[in-house]
Amino acid sequence: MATAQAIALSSERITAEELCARYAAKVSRFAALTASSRDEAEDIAQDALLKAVRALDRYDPSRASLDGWLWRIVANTARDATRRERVRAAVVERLGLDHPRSASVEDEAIAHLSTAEVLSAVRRLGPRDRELLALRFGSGLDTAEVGEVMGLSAETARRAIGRALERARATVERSRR
Amino acid sequence: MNEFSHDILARRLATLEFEEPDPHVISARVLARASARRTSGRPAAFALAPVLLVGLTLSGTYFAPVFSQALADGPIGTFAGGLLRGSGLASRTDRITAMDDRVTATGITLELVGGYADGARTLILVRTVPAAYPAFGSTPPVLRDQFGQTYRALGAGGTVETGETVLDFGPLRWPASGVGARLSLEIGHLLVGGTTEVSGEWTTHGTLAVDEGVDLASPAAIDAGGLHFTFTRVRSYPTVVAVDFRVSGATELLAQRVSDAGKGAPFVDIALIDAAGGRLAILRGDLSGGPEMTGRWLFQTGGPAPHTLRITVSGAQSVERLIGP
Repeated sequence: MATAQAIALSSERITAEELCARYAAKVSRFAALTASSRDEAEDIAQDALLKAVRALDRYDPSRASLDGWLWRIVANTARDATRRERVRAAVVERLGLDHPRSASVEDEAIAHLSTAEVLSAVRRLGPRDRELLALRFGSGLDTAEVGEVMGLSAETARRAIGRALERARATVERSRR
Repeated sequence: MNEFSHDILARRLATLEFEEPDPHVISARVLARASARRTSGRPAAFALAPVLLVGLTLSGTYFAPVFSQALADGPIGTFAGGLLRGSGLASRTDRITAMDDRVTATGITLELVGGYADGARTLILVRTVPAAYPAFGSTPPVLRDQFGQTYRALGAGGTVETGETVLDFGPLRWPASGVGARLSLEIGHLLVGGTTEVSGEWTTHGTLAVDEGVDLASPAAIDAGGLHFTFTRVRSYPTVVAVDFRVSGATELLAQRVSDAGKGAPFVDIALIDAAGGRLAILRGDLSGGPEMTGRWLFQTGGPAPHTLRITVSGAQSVERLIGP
């Protein structure tokens, strides 16, 4: 019978299997938002969870929460993957806030976007923006938790997420012209 | 507080439904790779997997209801001895894991009594009150492991008097077969009184360890009555011996029966004989493919070694091969 890795986490013991059961769905969703293709999303999710499983015996609960520890691994894995992509961030970041537009008209347009269009808008953002949006809206972390993963204060994370949303909106606008 | 609740794009992102990687598939790959690395030489500094709970399940193709003869108390209490014998478990009740879960739906209580698993099969033992059989039809019973892998029931055997049934799901797949399986048994239809189908949701849970097997030397090929058998693997488990083979030639003979005044003996008889001359029951035979077919025989273990595999084609001479360590 194979043995399972286990670590002590206060009164909680977590095995590799439990780690996967707890986080696989959220990590998969995060990866789907940050990656540019389903294949890449699978690779990111798998690599991130594998790194976490192999690092379980080095996890120190006195230094970080399990959530924070795991999501930093996931975010780093996603960054490593996106660094290998062709850079589109510079072009995308130059778009956007030049033309003030009616919030109600824009919101109406966004409300009627297809899922593919919303995803496309996110995937055309720079890696950092994708990561922020995926952590905040794909993985269910709150702003403070996103900040912990990204090494930002809660307020800085909130502003960064807001700017990422703006750039995503600008991407949508540009694609519909 | 959700500071982005006013932002429609944020709301869209939070509730977006799109195709994501399957987390069950991801988990299975991760655990398989992590386990493979552990078995390549890392020091054993890990806790034991807490997933060994044995459920008792019986499996086998549906055969006529057998007489119910209570078995002496074992890990699963009393259970139809005929069913255990028919599944090759009667002499190895020590390998059966007791489970204790039950669910009631549409007036029928289904109890998950126990189980047994090795590399060749997974047997699940259930009992219903009032007595009923898990129905097959278009939606047979399904077993699901903790990695999301599903297994459809291949067959079953049951008793009319006690409502006890043995379900056969075939072998568990990796990684459940390696780390132990947390199983959900899902049954949607029961046959009451042999004729009335009742629908409901009977889902029970248990955990199961998988017995490992030992490879035995594969015997030399056999030519008999126009058939050519090549043996690819012989593996011994606590309750069965699995013989994997390929067969070519007059393979149509394998399904035929001898016209012998109604006895209908198989045209090709496959037997495993122990050293005392006793015939070990063949619990299941699988065959597929063509023109060269592949197959597996599962023989009940028992009797003194060495064992002899004997193939007899009607009208031709028997051919034998020793099977042993």
